[in-house]
Amino acid sequence: MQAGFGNSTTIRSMLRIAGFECEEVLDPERLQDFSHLILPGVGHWSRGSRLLSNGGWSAAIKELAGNQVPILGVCLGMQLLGLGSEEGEGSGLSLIDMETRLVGQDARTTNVGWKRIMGSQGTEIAIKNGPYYFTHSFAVSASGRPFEVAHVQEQEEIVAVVNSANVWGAQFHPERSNSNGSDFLRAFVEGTLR
Amino acid sequence: MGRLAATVVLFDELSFITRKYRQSIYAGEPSNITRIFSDLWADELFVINVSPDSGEAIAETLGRISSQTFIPITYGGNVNSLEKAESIARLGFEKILLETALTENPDLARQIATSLGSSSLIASFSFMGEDWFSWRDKKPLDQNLLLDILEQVQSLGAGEIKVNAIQRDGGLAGPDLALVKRLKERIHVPLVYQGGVSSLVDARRLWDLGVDCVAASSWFMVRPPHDAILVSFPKWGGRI
Repeated sequence: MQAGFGNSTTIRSMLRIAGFECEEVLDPERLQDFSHLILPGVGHWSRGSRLLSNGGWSAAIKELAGNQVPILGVCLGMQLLGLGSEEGEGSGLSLIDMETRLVGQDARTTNVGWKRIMGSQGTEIAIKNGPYYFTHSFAVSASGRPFEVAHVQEQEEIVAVVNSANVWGAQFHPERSNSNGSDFLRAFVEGTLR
Repeated sequence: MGRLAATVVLFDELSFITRKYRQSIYAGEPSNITRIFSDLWADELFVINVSPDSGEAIAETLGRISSQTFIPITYGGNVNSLEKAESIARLGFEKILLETALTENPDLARQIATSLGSSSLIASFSFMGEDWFSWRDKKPLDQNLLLDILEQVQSLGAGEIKVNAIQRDGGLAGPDLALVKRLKERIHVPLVYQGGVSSLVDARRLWDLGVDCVAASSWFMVRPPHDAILVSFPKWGGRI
């Protein structure tokens, strides 16, 4: 989907090369036509939250989630699956009971670069450990809750992957994580992330 | 070990190797080059447009680069409005680089950081020797303003700072370590350095100084002794 704040271009390109048909959807009412939804996200929380609610996306996405359609939120898209963020105003989709906070001391701190991930709570994960490319100043903080699938290997307080039923989130950018990202997207579409 | 990035410089829609940021050797169609860097697992790419246009004319080239490159990409060049920054972001570029706007329209940094997020904004500073320099106007800037602008742009939300040593550009004679040491104390966000980097030894020296990302162009694209264009990227450190 494209609500005005994410890199759908490269995600689509990556999916097509992997052999999947995909489309950029600009109208929330069309979401029900699809088997999977990817919610890309770059930018400021407030703007993302506002575009989701003003554009009529929130209700449509929640309905999709209720219908067990697999949903993947990327970067800001992952954060918007939650309740709210320290970064700004407006609520998220509340599909996962999580909050987004500052990564470091202030909003200037950026977690940027290629990082490996590891399973949370000592669990093995089906997802490759990477590396994946991260670039963000806000994140979901690790707290040991069941929806936290993986965190950044050398920064264990930063949650990298979340999952609750059919809803997934990745803090990194699979569309910029080269073949690791492409494998991750393929696993999401094929249902093999768990 | 930090990040290692390739920089591709565009004059209009074509890629050129530069020497002191002047057009030097034609390097080819940009999206072919960026695709190779992506296939070779470069950590990221800087696409710097030094043409005097605003990027609209090369939107198609940038779109091609974005859809064929699966590593992080940054765009810089004539970004002088929020609309331009947002349109570049919509093409798929993760980060926007600002340089001339830092002095001509300082509030633009705040606008871009607010709209796209701090992690999407890189503030770029070029130096000719020790002097802060406008490579567009080919003359030094007001040195008294440098530290203020450096501090200001970080407080306005720049997620990274890029430092370019113009004197070293294209020379493959090693980086300006003194410049990095001088500026590092004033920089609280990840630092990107470019200029003269010719080897992993050079890169390691910079990473050891606290530089987060080392960027180079000639090292990855030019082969002596006849300056042939050959795009390559080092395999290193369990990267893949």
